[in-house]
Amino acid sequence: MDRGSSSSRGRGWQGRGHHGGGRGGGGWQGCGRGRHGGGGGGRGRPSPPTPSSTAYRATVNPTPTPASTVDDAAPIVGTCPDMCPARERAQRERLRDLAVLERVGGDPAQTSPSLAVKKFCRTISSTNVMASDIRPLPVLRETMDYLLHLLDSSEHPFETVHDFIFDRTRSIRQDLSMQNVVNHQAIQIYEDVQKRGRILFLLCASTFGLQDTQNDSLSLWYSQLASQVRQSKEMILARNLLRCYHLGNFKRFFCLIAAEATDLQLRLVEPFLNEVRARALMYFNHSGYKLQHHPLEHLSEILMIEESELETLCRTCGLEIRTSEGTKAFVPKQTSFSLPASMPRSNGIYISREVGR
Amino acid sequence: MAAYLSMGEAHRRIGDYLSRVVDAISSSDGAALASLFAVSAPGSTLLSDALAAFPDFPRLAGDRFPHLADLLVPLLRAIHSHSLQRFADAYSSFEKAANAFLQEFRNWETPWAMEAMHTVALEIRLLAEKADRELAMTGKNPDKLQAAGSFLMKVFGALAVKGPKRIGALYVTCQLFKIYFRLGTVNLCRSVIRSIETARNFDFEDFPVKDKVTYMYYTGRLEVFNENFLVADQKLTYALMHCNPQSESNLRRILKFLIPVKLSIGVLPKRTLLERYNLLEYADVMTSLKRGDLRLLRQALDRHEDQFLKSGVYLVLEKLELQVYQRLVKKIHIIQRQKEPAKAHQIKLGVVVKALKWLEIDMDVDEVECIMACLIYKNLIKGYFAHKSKVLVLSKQDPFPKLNGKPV
Repeated sequence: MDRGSSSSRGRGWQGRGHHGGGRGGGGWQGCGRGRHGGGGGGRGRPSPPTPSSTAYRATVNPTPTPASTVDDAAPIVGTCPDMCPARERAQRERLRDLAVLERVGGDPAQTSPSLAVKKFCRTISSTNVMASDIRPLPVLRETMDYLLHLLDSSEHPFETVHDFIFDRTRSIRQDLSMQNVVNHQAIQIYEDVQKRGRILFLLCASTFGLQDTQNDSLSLWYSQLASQVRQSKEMILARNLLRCYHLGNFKRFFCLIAAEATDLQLRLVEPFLNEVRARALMYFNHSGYKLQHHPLEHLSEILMIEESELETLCRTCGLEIRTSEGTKAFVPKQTSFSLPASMPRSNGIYISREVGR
Repeated sequence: MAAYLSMGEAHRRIGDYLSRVVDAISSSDGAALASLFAVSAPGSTLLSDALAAFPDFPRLAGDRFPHLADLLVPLLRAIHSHSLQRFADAYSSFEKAANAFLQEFRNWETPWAMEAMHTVALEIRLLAEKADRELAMTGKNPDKLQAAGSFLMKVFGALAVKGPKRIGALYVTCQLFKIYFRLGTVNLCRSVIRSIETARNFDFEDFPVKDKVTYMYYTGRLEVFNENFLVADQKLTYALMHCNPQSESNLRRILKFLIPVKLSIGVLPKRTLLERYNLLEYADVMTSLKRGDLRLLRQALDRHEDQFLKSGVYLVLEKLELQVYQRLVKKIHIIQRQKEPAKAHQIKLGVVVKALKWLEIDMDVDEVECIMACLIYKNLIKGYFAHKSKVLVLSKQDPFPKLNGKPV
């Protein structure tokens, strides 16, 4: 992954109007932290936890924006030429704190300027930071470019890539914030991220995975979106999907994805598909008639999942499958049903034959 | 254009203002001091004319009252800058004055200066808003409101102590809320809320009513963002009940959020209420709930989409769709009961598809089956569906349970 080849300035940086809307810091707070999916087990973070917080100087600051108590302090202008400051690179090599995607030849203690990306640091105080640690705008754009380019590679499992991208994007936002960059270019960076479907993922994450947390309010996030973004195709698709989900209209949910999601969007939504399907099974099991079995073939069609995979999913949810006259079905009203804590990985959208819609 | 002002007269006016401030402090006159701090309030230009005519006013203040120079000099600068519509400058000066005042305030044992402190809190927010507008327009970074927030946190800290000063804390809290909501950093509200509500120093009932109303309004809105409808209902209703009945605009603000909450828990306000407070954007939503008219709900959401999204109620209203479906199916059931009572509790899914088609909503029988399964699961319909026969079978007793104040 040579950074040189991926950074092409022409890519997608069209002029956009400056719209008041959310400023860098404010517009992104409260928006999905990207902890995704009910599948709690087995999804390790790509890099080991930071060995000690004294590695980075700090004051306690739970939000990504720096506490600006010194209102007369001039914003810093970053001078770091690489995606990751040399200081941090050396430190993390020493501490073996390198993400899988940052390792040269898989070596956990070796990285390079073209692989290492500055990590998000929760506890950074703007008064103690050095200009050489902050990346200026052009470098941030190239970094963003590189990160998005990672999404297209299939070398690593999706969750690994996504976790990495999500964390490193936060660090980009942090650098922007510290330099008080709130102009055309910064907004373009955000918009490009969004245009690549991250909204979809965040929306999915926050609805499907984070229903129990207080922190992330979807309504709050919507209220701060610039209207240009709100009206983008990606947003509209994401909102339609959410609506279908809340309504229990699983058939349309999957039809929409099949019909309208780009490959990238599909990959972003993939981790959640089985959760949605499990929910569908839950509703059908609860509300069905126990004297009329529900054929798997039908479910396989509307949930767009291969029958054998569906069978596995049913079993994972505690649903018994019955076979009669060659067709498999499940009997509704089984009390053994339960939503699994760890969801099997989905193989995407499966369409067995021409679907009507 | 101010009439010509002699240096002598200008000098006199400035000295007069300064004396009044100092006298108010020495005689512990909180009300007088408060009115002297109202920098942004429209009023007489006598003082600002004098400041314009006498540019050496900082030295005048510093010489006359050196022990209060830290307060008086930036205060005069703030007034002067504000009169010239240089709001960023006005803010910066006022913040200096405010910090100086806070220092003094901390040293005074009694809360005599609370009214003045509140005026400072209000002014710093108003000036910050003006300053940020100015900064944004000139392409600079609007960071004054955020700075005002930091200052007010300091003030809060000075008030959240044992003793009579604590009664002023809720007002400052509300100013902070206004700032955080404006900036969109509402998660910062959490720490002040925690301080107020895990009260070792505070008894909520002791606070002035006006402050309690504002507090409940904002915390109620937070609950709406987080979709805790029952708590939101409690808080916003409290605000409504205790709000000054003359204050129509405040009542309207509260209702703007209370109505969607009420709708979510199955309580429909009267249309006259919407008319009275000019909240007709909810009229079609309500009608769609009464009629089971899905098309109308979608149209209403589309028409006011921007407004609903901005205020954070869009998702709340969108979720009403389930209730609208319930109503639609109920209407079908009623019609069937009149035609053929014996079989009325069995509703063919195809009939629902037809009803939706009549509403110009294109859905196939599979989709309807999914939605019915959901309605049953969420206890909006009592019964079950038979997949092979494609029939929804309603329970003979109470097949469409009312929400009864519980959200779906």
